[in-house]
Amino acid sequence: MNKTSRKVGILVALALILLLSIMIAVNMGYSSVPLKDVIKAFFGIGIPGKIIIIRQLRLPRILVGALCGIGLALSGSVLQSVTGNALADPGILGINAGAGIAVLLFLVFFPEMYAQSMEIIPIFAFIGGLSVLVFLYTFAYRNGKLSVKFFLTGGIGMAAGINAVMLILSTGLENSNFQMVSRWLVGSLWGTDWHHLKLLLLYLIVPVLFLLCYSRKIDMMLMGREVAVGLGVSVEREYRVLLFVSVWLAAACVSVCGGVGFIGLVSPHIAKRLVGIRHCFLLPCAMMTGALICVLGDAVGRMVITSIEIPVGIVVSVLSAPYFLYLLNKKNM
Amino acid sequence: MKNEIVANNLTAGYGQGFHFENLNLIIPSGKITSLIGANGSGKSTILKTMSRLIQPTHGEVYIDGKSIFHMNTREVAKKLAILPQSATAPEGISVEELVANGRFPHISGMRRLSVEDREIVHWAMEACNIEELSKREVDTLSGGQKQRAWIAMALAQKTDILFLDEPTTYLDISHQLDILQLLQKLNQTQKVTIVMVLHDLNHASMFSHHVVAINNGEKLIEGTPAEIITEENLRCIFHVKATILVHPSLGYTMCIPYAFDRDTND
Repeated sequence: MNKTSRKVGILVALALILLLSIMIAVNMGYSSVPLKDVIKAFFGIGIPGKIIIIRQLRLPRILVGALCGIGLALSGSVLQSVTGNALADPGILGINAGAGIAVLLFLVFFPEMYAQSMEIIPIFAFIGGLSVLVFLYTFAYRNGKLSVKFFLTGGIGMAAGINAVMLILSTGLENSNFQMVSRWLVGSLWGTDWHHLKLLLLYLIVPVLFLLCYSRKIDMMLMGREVAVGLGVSVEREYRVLLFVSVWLAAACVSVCGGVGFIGLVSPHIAKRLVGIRHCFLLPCAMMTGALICVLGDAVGRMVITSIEIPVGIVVSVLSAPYFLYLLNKKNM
Repeated sequence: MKNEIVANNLTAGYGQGFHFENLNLIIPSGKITSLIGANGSGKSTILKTMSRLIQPTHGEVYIDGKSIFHMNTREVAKKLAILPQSATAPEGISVEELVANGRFPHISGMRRLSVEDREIVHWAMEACNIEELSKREVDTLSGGQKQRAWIAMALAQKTDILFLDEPTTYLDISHQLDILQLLQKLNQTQKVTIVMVLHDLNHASMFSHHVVAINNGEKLIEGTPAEIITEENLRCIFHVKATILVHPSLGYTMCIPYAFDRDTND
């Protein structure tokens, strides 16, 4: 029980840190706004110019970032638990790439529809991600069960292949579109607004709530296929359900913020170290960790060089890669 | 008969080898039954199929007259617990958490463990003599303690039937006997029907009421240990020459295999 209250404490602390980082992130940028004005602007009072910067530009972007972090981290956590492999992540498995190429194809063939089609893009991304999943699932389904080994190696192959095709496709674009697409491919929150936020919220709320209710079943899946079946889990069905949900999450995020890597990989690892492997704690913890990484990554990207903006995907990769190597190294020792 | 397990025309097998065909088997309830046979004879596959870890291509397994392949898998988990050989605990999980997982089939949706569930978890740990280890991480336990923790998890499922796939493998002789005595006690006090795959014939003889010998995916013979463990049968099943004797003080049939019998090896 003492252990449980410690874990709850960690979750509350994380939530507070996340809130604080959002406040600080709002404060950062080309024109810095004092924290006092930030708080004022939240309530719609203060200097009108600053209210616009904060309420129309920065806040939606930061909240979109937080949501993307939540979605990607959750997707990564589920993939890692379901496959029982600590390296699974929507980026590595090619789900992000599948979602990405679908969106890219949409942009290449219907560039004029981009502006009006915010609602359609997540659906495209979802179809792309799902196609990769269906392919991987059929590829890895051997002797009546899902082979995790084939699933992972197949995913890595898919990711590499699709990324190559995306590069070829994007070189055929005209210059301004190419810039937009390449920024989007590495993952960027540039230009996101309240509209994106509403959309993302709409797409994320169902799978997030679903997974939180599902946490005990995921705990059982973690015991291994045979033990889980023995305990009365319909493992093959749960595999399909959970993989579907993780694609849903990843695709929704990719459709808005592009291919931000590493969040899905690193957040569950950090969360495991903080609260252990029980999913009723692990999932919320990973969600907040992912949000935190994304919000801070974006803030750093805006702050480091003020004249140009470094996309959040690059910042996250640069910061996460060494940390992840450190984690792996420590684990194997 | 209650809790009787019946395999009817059962056929299963994965990939090449390890398959069996048209198996008919009745497991007596309230007894300890051991499956014996050479490596690759299909005894593990039979155990896994009879506990629905493997889907058969043909045939049925009935518990209380109901097919386990047509029942809700959670309902099966309330009647039958299975301890696979490959069971490994997730990193960092405590003994108590592992054992509490045994309550999963009885807990629906988001409900937390009830007082009754906690009592059962406590009882299962007590029965397996691992109460003092309850806060320890499973990774840090010795082989024998780990196996006890897993058995406690299966016990917490509160089923009348317990399947175990080679529960004594990788344990030294004292822990092998310790685990087998624990299972025997559970059978005697809780009337749990136990079905297990065993390698050691003398253990099978000492601890089971019923022995089923499997050869090349077929049930060769079944009966009491004294009926099964004979020179002739050991030559057929394991291709070994053996001396059979009766334990001087305990009265069990014992065997001392002493040579590989090339002639019967096909």
